[in-house]
Amino acid sequence: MTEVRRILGEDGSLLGDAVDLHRNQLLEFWRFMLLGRELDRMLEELRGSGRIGPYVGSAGTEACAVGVAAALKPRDWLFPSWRMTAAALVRDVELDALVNNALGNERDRARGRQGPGGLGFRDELVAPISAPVGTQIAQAVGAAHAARLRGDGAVAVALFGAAASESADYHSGLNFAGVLRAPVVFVALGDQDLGASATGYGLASSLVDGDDVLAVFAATREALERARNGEGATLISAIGGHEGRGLDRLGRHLVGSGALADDLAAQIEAEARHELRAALDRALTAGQPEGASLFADVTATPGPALAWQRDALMRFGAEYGGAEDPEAGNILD
Amino acid sequence: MKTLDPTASSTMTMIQAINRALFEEMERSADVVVLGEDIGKNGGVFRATEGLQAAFGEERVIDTPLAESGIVGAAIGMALYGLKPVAEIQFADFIFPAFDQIVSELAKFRYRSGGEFSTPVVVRTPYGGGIRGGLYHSQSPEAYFCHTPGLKVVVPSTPGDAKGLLKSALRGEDPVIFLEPKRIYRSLKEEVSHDPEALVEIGPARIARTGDDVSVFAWGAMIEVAEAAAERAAEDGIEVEIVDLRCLAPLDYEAIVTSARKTGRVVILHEAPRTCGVGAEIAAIVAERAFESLEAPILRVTGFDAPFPYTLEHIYMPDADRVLRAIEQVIDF
Repeated sequence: MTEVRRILGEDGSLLGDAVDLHRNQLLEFWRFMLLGRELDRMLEELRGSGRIGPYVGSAGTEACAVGVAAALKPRDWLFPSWRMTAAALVRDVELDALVNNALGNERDRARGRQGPGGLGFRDELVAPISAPVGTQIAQAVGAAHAARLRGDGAVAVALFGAAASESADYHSGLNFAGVLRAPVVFVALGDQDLGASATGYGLASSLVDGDDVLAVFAATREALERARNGEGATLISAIGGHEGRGLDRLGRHLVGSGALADDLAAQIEAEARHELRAALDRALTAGQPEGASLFADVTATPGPALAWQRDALMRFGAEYGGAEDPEAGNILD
Repeated sequence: MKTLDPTASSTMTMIQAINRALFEEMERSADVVVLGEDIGKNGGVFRATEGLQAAFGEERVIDTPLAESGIVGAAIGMALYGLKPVAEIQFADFIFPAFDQIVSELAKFRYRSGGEFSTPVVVRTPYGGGIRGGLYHSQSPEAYFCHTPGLKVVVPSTPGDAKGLLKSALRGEDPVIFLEPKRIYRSLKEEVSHDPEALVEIGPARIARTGDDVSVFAWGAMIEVAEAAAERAAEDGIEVEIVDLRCLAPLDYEAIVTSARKTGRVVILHEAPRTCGVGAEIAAIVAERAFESLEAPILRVTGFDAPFPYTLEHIYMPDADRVLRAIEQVIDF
């Protein structure tokens, strides 16, 4: 069995090679992980009180999500699964966008279609998440091939829970990556070393502690470099995903190195909660998307059937976002 | 393959017209790529992609693993990145492993991202019976895709339409399921323009034959069956109008309603099984929008609600006799 790569010990001490990051960057990692955890807690509360629909919690994914996203260059694409919300924060998706998405309000960039956690942001190159498991793994390979064809030097990264390794598209994705020698990186968070399946498809693999943000960052950066150099795809098995562990470990390291005094930690935490509260307050002032938006974005322009259905519904009146019409309900008009 | 005089034309089969369309569009834009099983070196089982790999290389004409879900998944990733991929599924009967990627992913990217992403993938696939292909090389799966919002479903019935519609699909912004009636791949020839800008718009139906007495709605290989029946009906003084729908999603409401109102008698013809076939939708449109004009019940001539048979395909598939009988029934009602 390959050894699991670790950079941070449980007590926050450095094991082996450190990564060449300034301590401000480490603090930034910690802040993103904290923000991700606090956002998750807030959404769990909103779900508990019935203010939002079913929400899949992301507790425990912070170290992996942040480590992967922080290693990307701005031109790289991220294909995440559900639960990897903290990665979007690192990619400069605004907190408001994430909160509006969870509420599905009129300011939600996805117009209230997906429900909490169903993220996707074009400018930030975060591909939109879907509920079927593993589908984005094959898609990431296609994006990677396109990037190489265009000569952009960009890499696509698929990030998913290790259970996705049981899906058909995981195997298709790895197979296509091997055949196309696509510049793609796969990161699986969970309790399985998937290296053998990568080897079977002719890919490189590595094994890291998924609760160690620095180890995930280092492994991802190396895999990205390989991909960019035309050396092919890598599968990273990130062993972990335990609630609180990644955040605590980096926190202990930062405290130990003197970068995070108690008062600074308290201040960052207070700021994170304040930012979240303010984002929620703003989001709660927004209404629902307008009724007619239900019919938008199906295709580039609506066909006759959809236009007819929209117009008929709008005639039912204000309750549906249209105008009152005494003839409402006459579908033949 | 080479560029031809755009002011000229030549006699082409449908397969030649498709090959030509792909060549012209690949020449026009470096973003167009094609991928599928045995489509490169081999040129595809029906030769639709013959000569393309030699002209455009292995990175743009991609021989993929035998995994339809991976083919469509990779094509989606390419489209997200900005390419215009054409995914070939060797037979429509084998499209079902890719069903999740088509229905859950391809069709929904635009909607689920609030219009931030689009996936203009063209999925080309030969469909339909009449080649003694048996249970797994003969099916007509159009209804599954018409039932999925976000997809366009296109079925050409002539070489010229195949070329013009495929080119429009490649220049459009939406995913297109492009169903090719393989029974008439080579049996039908016509003069086809070499003009790379000769497009056929996706959406409008084509009036294949004008008549005042009965409307026959059909598509694909059923058009020539309808024409044979119409010739025989004309001998008895019955003038049949044949509406070649060409695009099944979205349906051309105006063409359907206009013809039904004109003739007052409607026969719908398709190879696919009857229950929940596209014919049912057309019948409902006529009933909703042209009820006052109807002189007779709407009749359907279709494949049966049995799997497609090998030995008895000549009985399973609608022929001119069955169509003529339906025409006579609506006339005599």
